[in-house]
Amino acid sequence: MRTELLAPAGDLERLKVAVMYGADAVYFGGKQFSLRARASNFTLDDIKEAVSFAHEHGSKVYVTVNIIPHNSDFAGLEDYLMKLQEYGVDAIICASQAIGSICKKVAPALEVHISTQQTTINSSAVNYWQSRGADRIVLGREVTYDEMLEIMKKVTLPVEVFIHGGMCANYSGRCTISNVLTNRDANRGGCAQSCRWNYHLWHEDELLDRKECMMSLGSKDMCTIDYIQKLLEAQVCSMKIEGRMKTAYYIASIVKGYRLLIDSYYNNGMISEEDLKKAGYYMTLASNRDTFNGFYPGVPDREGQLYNFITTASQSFIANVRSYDEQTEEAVIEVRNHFEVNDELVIMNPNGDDVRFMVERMLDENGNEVEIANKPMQLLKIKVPVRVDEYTFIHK
Amino acid sequence: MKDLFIYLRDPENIPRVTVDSVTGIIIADYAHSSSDHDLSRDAIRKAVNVIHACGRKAVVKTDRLFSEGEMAELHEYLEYLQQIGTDAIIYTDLGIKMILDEEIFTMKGIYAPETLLTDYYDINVLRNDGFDGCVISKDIPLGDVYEIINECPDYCYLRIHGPILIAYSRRRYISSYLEKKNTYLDSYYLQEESRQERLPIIEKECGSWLYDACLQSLSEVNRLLDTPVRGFIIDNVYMDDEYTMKTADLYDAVMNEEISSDEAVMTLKSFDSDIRYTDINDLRETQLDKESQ
Repeated sequence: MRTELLAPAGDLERLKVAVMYGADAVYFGGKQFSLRARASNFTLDDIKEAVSFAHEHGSKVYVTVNIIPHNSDFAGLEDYLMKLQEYGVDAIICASQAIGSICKKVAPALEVHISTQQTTINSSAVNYWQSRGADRIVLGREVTYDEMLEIMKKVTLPVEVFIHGGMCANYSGRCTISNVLTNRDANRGGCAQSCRWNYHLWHEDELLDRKECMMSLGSKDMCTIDYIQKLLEAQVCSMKIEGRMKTAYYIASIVKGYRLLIDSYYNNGMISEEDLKKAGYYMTLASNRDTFNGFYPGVPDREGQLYNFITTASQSFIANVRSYDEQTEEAVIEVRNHFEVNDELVIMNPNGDDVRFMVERMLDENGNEVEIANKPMQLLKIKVPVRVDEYTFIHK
Repeated sequence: MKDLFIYLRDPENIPRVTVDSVTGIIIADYAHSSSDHDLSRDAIRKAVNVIHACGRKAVVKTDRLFSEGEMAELHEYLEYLQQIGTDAIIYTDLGIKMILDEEIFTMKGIYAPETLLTDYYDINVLRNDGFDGCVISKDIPLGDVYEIINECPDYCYLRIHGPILIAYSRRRYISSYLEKKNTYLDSYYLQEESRQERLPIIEKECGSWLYDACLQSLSEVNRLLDTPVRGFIIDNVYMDDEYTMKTADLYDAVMNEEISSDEAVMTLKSFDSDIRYTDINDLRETQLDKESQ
C-alpha cells in the first residue's frame, strides 16, 4: 500500500493545481454541509467537473460534509449525497454519525471518512468508528507520533493524519469561542479564529501579562517534513494538507514539496538530505507563518504557540501560466507580483525540477513591449525555456 | 420522575443534600475528569456508598479525552467504578463507549461530548446504537433543544446550570505562556483585549479548559419539566459545594412552585455577585441559525 498525499481545494482552479502538482487525492466542500464557509466551495456542477478532472489524472475526490449539524441542517442531505455518488465522488469526510449513517444508506458507493472534528485520539475510539461502519479515520491532531504508532498496532481501520497547515489550538470540534465572542458558528463553518486574538491573563486581580507579548491560544501551523519518512514507514493510509482557503500558489508549492519527499522515499527507500532540503525550500515559498512539528514530537509547550500573530503576504509568486505555444515557445502568463525584463525567474515545474530563466522580452495583449510587469492580473507573453502547462507557477 | 444530578466536590457534603428532587450525585477524581478537585479511589468508593445510603444514584464524571497511553489505566479505573457499584458515568471519549460495550460492564454510560450533540438525528442514531443516554450540547438555541427532547423522548439529559465550556485543549496554555510548568486551577481568567468579561480557565497536566459565563435555567426549568427530557444536570467546576447545594435548593423551590423564577434568579445572584450568568433563554442564535430560518 502506498500512502496517499491528500490536498485541499477551495475551488476548481486550486483542485486542478493540487492534482497537477502531485496530490493523490483532493478534498473540498460543497456549498452546503461543509466547514470553511469562507472558502469558495463547489457547486454540484463544479463537483462533477472536479471528479472528471481528478479521475482523468488518477486522483481521488473526497467531499467534506463535516458540519456539526443542527436539526435544520439535514434538509436536502440525502439528495446531495446521492448526487455525490452519481458524480463519482470517492468519499465523504463527515463528523456527524447521523450523516455517516445516512450516507451508508442512500449512497453506499461513497466511503465514509470520519473527520478530525471527532478528535479520535486512541485505539478504542478508532475501533468504535470501525464497528460503526467507517471506512477511514482521520486522527485528531493532538496525537503524538509514538501514540500514533501504538494506535496503529491495535487497529485495522485505515488511518489518515495531518501533516501540514493551520491547526486548531483546541481539540477540533470542541471549541465554541467563536460562537461566544463573534456569534459565528465555529462548528458550522463560521470559525473566526478567535483563539488567535490577544487576551489578558489574570490570577484573581493580578494581571499576569508578559511585557513582550499578550496571551493567545493560537497555534503555529504544522509543517512536518522531518516526520514524513517515519509516517511513510508507519504506513498511514493518507497524509493530509490543511488549507481549503489557501491560494493556488500555496497549494502548488506545498504539494510539490511533500510529493518530492514521498517519491524520494518510494524510489530510494529513504528520503535523502538533499530532497529534504528541497522540500524545505518549497515549504517557505508561499507561507510566512511560524511552523512546528505539531504534536508528533510530544505535546507542545511554548514552541507550539503563536503569540503576536501577524500574517504577511508572500511576494515571491510572480505569475501563473495561462497558455503555451509550442511553435514560438512562448507562454501567456497572468501577472501577480512585480518583476522586470532581465529579472531571473523560476518555473516551478509540476513534474520535474525547477527551471531558472532570464526574462528577455515581454509583450502585452496588444503586442506592445513592456519593461516592467506591475499590473496584477495583466496577461503578458514571455519566452520560456521549457514547455509549460496551464497553472504552472513562476516565482522569483 | 425526572433525574436531577448535581456535582459535589467533597463527599462530606453528600448527606447535606436534602431536597427530594435531587436523584443523583455526581462525583469525580482529578485524573479522569475536568475536575480541579481530587478524590482517591477509596474516597470514591466511600462516596458511592454514602450516595446509595442516601437513596440516590452515584454518577462519576469521566469527561475527558484520553490518549493512547492512558487507555489501559482507564480500563482498569472503569472496572473499579463498576466494582464499587457506580450507577453511571458521564463520558466524553467514544473510546469509553467501546469499553462499556464489553460484557463485564453493566454500569450505565451517559455520553456527553459537549459541543457535538446538536441535532436529533445524531441522538437517535446513538439511541438505536445502545448508548444509555446522552447530554445535549449546551450551546445551541433553546428552540433546537426542545425539538431534540421531543424527537428523542425520555433519553436526553440537559445541563441546566453550570459554567459553559467553550474550549478544551490538550495544550497547557498558561504554562506555555508563563514558561512555568505548573497546574493553574483556581481563579485564573482570560480577558479578550477589547472586552470586559473574564473567562475562567483551568489548566491541569492533561490540558486546559476555558469557560464562558455560568448557564442558569431558573426561568425555563418548569417548562422543561413538561417535556419528555430524561433528566437535568447541575454541574460545577470552580464554585464550592455550598453554592451548588444552595442552587439545587433554588431549582427545587422553583420546580415545586414555592418561589417564582424571578425571585429565584435574584436569590441566585445574591450568592456571589462576581458570577456572570447566561440565561438559557439568551443562548444566542448564531448568524447561521438566523440565515437558515
